[in-house]
Amino acid sequence: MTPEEFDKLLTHLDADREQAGVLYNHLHERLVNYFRFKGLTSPEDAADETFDRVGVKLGHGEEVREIEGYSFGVARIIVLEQQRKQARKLAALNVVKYIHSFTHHPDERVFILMRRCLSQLPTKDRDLIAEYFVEASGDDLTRLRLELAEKMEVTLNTLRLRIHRLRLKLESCFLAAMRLLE
Amino acid sequence: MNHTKSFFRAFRPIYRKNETCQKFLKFLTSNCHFKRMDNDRDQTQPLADETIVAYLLGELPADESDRLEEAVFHRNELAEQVFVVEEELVDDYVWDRLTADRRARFERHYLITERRIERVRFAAGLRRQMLPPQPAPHPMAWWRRLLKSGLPFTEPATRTRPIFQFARPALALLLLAALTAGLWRIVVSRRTSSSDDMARTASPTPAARSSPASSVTPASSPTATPSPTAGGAGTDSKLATAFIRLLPDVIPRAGGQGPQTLTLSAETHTVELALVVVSRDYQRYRGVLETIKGRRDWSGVSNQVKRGSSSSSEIIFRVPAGRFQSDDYLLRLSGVTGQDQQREEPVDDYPFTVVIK
Repeated sequence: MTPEEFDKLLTHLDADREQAGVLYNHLHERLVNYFRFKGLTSPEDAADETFDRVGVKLGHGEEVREIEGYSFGVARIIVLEQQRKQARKLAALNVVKYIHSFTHHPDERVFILMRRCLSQLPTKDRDLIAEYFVEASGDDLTRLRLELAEKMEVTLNTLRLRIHRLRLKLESCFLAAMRLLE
Repeated sequence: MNHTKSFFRAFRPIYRKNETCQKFLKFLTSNCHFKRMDNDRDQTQPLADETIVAYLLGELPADESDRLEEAVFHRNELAEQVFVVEEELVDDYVWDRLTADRRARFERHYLITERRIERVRFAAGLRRQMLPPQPAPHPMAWWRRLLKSGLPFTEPATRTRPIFQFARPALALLLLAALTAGLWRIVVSRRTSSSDDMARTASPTPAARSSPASSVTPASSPTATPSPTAGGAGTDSKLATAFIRLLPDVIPRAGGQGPQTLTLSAETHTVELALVVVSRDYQRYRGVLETIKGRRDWSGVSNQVKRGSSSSSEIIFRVPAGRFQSDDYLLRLSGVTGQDQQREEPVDDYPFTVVIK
């Protein structure tokens, strides 16, 4: 995207440059969330790609009435393209067999990496994870988690969000380490 | 509110062109807490977790799927909810809590990108960490394996080529014979060396190696090299020099165990660390000892390399025992290279736990 195209994009978002900047970031965040929800490998790059394509269209004089809706349309196309690419890549791999290989025959390296990532969390967070992830099924699991939430004097939804945020930290540590390893 | 929205929509083209209008609207939006038109969608209903699950498993009709995607895009406040539900679905998969039908749907509709496969891998890793340690599966007795691997009378139906009928058992017997011969040689050589030791008792050493699993050198000779036959993580906390052989963290340990443990006592003054390296590429190595939290406690250079029986070698470091506390440690090994021996290239990390008794 050229500086002129970027300028047009911002103008479409808002005539006031400062407000346009705020809206740009806001829209970027929503695109990232959408791409993450669709399981794309790099949601940030996909959001940048969306803005690039929208900017180029605006630069070519395309009539865009609502920039958000237009961006969402472009984002959907990017998702389809990426999914097609992924389908070709994954076709060579028997996904279920591959998943089975690490769910039923755990890799020792994964164990060590996970242990290391867990050790980087504060003790109270580690304890919370250990209490939250227990082997129980259906109703029992819900009951145990409700009891845990009550003990912590929070709602179950707050507890779920807290676990989600801890999990994000843990996951980013784990995946970064796995990529180094592979 | 709906009237206000319609008004704003109708007013939008004028608003965009007229500076006074822009200022007026900005005043309204910042002071009257109206939502911005762009974000102001009619979809304000909360999403049910089950709808998100149904979407991820491809159970929703196409138009409902589209509506859900739009809602996720336009309503930022939904983002965390959908990610929480998605994680819980992945957990249900790896913890075997899905029905067979949903399991199949998960594999068909959800596992369609590499990122999602990574999420499953992470969840499986987390699950394994949370489960109580499982005893290692009892290995099948060698004689059973031998029988199963192909004595002719065990699997008559599958054998079509008689010449191969005896190949596997013959090979197994050959290996067994070689193993027995090897063991016999070790026993004989040990007997010889122990009689040599007995002959040398006229010059006693201050401390002796107490067991094959613990290689301990006397306090008066801390530079003595450890026995190459010493076991993996053997330590004797009561002796002056403790020894531990460490595997890099990328090499799995037997029985699915975590990092090795080094037990020290107040009497231990030196810790000898033997780091197993698969290929020896450097003349000198640097070891940096850190706690798992990243606190650097010691660093040193070693050019003492012991070649092992196979393709592996060991790099020996001696660290004052006072450097250790009861904690999780990581020894980072790098190879010293370059013409001036100033450049360092990372080799491996060696995690271990220290317990001071």
